[in-house]
Amino acid sequence: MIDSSSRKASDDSLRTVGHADMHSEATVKHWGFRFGLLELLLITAAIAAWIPVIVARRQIPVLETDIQLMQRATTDLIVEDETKLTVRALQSVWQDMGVWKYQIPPNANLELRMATEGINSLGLPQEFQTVALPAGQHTIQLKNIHNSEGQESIVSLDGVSVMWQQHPADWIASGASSSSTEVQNESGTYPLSEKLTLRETRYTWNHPLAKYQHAYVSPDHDHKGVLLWISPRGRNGPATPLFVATSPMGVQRSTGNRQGIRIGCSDQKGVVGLLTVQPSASSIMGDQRWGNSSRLAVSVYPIEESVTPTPREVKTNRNGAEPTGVPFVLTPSISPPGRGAPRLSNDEFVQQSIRGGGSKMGVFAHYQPFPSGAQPIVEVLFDSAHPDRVGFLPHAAPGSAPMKACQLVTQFDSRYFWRKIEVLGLSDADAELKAVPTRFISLKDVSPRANLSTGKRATTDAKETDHWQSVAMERLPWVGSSSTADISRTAENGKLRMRRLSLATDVMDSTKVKFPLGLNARWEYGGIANRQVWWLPAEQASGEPIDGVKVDVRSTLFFPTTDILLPGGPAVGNVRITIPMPATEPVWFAIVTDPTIVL
Amino acid sequence: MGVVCTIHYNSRLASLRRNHNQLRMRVGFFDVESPERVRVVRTAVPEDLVYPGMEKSLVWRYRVSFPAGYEASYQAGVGLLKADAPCINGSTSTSFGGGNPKSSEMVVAIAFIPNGGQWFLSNKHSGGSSILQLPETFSPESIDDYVVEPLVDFGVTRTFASDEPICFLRVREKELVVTRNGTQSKNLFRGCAVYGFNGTHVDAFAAWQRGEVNSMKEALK
Repeated sequence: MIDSSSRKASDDSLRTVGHADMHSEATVKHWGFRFGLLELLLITAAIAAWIPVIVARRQIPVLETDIQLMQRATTDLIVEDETKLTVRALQSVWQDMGVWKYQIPPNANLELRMATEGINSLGLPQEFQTVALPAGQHTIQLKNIHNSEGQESIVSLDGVSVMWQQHPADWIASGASSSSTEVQNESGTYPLSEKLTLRETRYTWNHPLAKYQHAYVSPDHDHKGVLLWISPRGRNGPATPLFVATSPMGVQRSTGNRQGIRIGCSDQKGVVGLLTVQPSASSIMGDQRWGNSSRLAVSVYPIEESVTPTPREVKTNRNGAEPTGVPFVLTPSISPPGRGAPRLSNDEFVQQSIRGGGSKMGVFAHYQPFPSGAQPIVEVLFDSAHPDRVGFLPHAAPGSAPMKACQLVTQFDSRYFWRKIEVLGLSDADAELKAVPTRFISLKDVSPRANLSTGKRATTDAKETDHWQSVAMERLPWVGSSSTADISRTAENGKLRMRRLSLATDVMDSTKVKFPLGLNARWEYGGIANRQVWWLPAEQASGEPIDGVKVDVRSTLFFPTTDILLPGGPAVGNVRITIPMPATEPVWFAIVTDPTIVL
Repeated sequence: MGVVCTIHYNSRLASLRRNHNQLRMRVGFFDVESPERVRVVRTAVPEDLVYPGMEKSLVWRYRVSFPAGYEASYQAGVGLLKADAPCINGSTSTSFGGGNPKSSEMVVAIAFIPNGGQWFLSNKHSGGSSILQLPETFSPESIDDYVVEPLVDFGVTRTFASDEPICFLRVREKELVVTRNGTQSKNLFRGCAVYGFNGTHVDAFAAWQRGEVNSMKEALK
C-alpha cells in the first residue's frame, strides 16, 4: 500500500525530473516490443493467412504426382497446344492391337497411312494406304494379327474400319517381330509438318533350315510387317536409296546395293588390303550375323610387265589372306584422293558414286603402290537390276609401273564348302549360245588329282593342295545374251558375250554339319546352300575373242586361316581371275542362292 | 499478399483434389501407404481399348505399384493347376523384368480374347505381353461355369510382400480333373492362371510350380 505522503513525494519527484526523464521513458518504450491487441490480431491474421499456402504447397506436388500416375491409367488426352497435333498411346489389352488418341485443329491436313511391305530404317515405304484424319479428338485402333492363316491388318477410326490389308499364309514365314513407336503413353505435342510413327512392326526372317532361330537382316533392308504413321497430307518422302554406304566399327567404309551385295574396306588385322564382300542377305540366309569380321573377300594383285608369264604365287597363310596387304581407300572418283581432302559423309559418298540415272553405282579402290611400283585402281560396279552382283574393272593409276594383268583372288572360300564346278561337256566346247547342257564336276574328282584344263586326271598323286589348277575358259558355259547385256558396260549395243564360272556346294543343309571343336565361329557357315558365280568377258559379238582372261582355282583341306580340317574333304579355297591390262570390260562376281534349294 | 496467395493456392488445391477424386473413382487409387510392398487395385476397362468386333472379350485390368528394385516378372499358364498354385502341366509363357531403382507403376491387363474362332489368354503390361491359346474345351463364353478368381475387386487395395507370388487371375473348372484311368485327381483342375512374381525369387517360384509347397505360398485374401 502506498501512503499519500509518499505518493506526493513521488509526484514531486516526477515533476522535477523534467524533459530529460521523459526522453528516457520514450527510449524504454522503443526497446520493449510492446504489442497492442490490435497488432497481435494483425500478426496472427497474417500468419494464419500463410498457413494454408504452406499446407497447399506441400500437398499440391503429392496430388500432382498422384494425378499424373492415375492419368496414365486413363485414356484421357491432355491437350497443351490446340494448334498442334496431340497424340497419346493407350495401353491396349492384348499384343496384337494398338490404340492411340489424337487431336488436331481444323485444316491440319494430316492423313493416316499404313504399309505392310518395304519397311526399312532409311525411309518410308512408297506404297501405302491412306485416309484423311478428321479434325478434333478421335481414336485410332490397329488390329494386326499374324498367324498360320496369314496376316490381317485393320485400322479403325472411332470404331469404323478405314484401312484393311490381308496377306496369305505364305506371305512370310516368321515367328517373331520387333516393334517401335515415336509416341509415348503420356500425351505428347507434335508439329503438324512432320510425320509421326505410331507403330512400326517388322517381322524377322525365320532361319530357313534351323528351328526356332531367326535370320539376321540389317534394318536398312526392306522388311514385311506393319507401319502406321501420321503424315502431312499428300507429302511423300524421298524414295529409299538403292545404294548405301555405312561405316560400322572397324570398317572404313562398306558400300553397295542396299538389298544386295556390298563391298568394304577394313582396317582390321588380317583384312587390310582385302575388298571385303558381304553377299546379299538372301544368298546367305540363315548365316550368323556378320558383325565386323569379314567372311569373304577379294584380294587384288598386279602382275608387272617385267615378270615372267607365270603368275606370282600369292603368299597366303594357307588359304587365308595375307596378314597385311597393300592398303587402299574407296572413293567415288578415279582421280587419286588428294592428301588432306575432307572425308566424305556416307550420304555424300553415295551421291557422288551414283551413275546411270540412279540405277547404277561405281566406286574406286585406290591402292597404294605395290613393292614392284605397280599401282592398281579397281573400279567396283553395282547395278540395281542385279543386286546380287558386283563388278570389278582394274585400271592403272597415273605413274604406275606397267601392268601386264591384274589378279582378283577370292579369300576365305572354304567356309562355304564349294566343291563342284560347272563345266560344259568336252564335246560342247565350241557351243555358242545354243542351249548346251552343263554338268557339275565334283571337286574330289578334279582337284587336286585332276587337271581341269584338259579334263584328264593328273598323273601325279599329289596330296598337298597348295597349287593352282587352271580352268580352261572353253570349258565354261556361255551366258545367255540377255544376261550379258544386263551386266556389260556395253549393254546398250550388246556387243559382248560372257562365260560363267559357277562353283556349287554339296552341303545342302548346313545345320547338319558338325564343325570341329575349337573352330572360330567366324568360319562356321550356317546359311542356305549357295554358289559362287563369275561372269567373264570372253568374246565380242563379232566373234573376236577377248583374249587373256584366265581362271584358276585352288582347293584346300582346311578352314580359312586355320589348320582345322574341313568336314567332308577338300573344297575350293580360292578362285583367281586374271584380267589382262588394260582392261575395258569388268568381270562380275556374285554369291547366289543355289537354284536347286527348296526352302 | 498472404490472402491473395491463400486464395490462389486453395483454389489450385481444390481443383487438384476434385481431379484426384474423379481419377480415383475411374482408375483406382492406392489407399494403403506401404512403399516396401506391392500394391494392386483393379481399374475399369475403357471402351477405347476394346476393338470393334471383340466385345465378347473378358478383361481384368489392374494398377500395380512396385517397390524399388522389384523385378516384375510374369507367368501365364493354361493346363492343369491346383486351386492355389500356378499351372503344373500345360502351356506356359514366362517373362522377366529388370529391377527399377525407384518405385514404379504398371498397368496389367489380363484378357480372354476371341479371334479367328479360337480363344486366347492375353497378358499385356507396360513391360511386354504374352498370349496363349486356350483349348477348345475351355470356353470363356460360359465363364459362369468356372471358378473365377480375380486378384482384387474394385475399390480395394491389396498389398504383397516382395517375395510373395501374385495371382492376377485364376479361372478353373469347378470339378477336379478326371485322369486317364478314370479316377479323380486329388487336387488338380483344368484352367488357367496368370501370376506375377519378383524375378529375384524365380527359383522359389519355379520350385513352387513344380510342387514344392513350402517354396512359395499365395497370400490370403
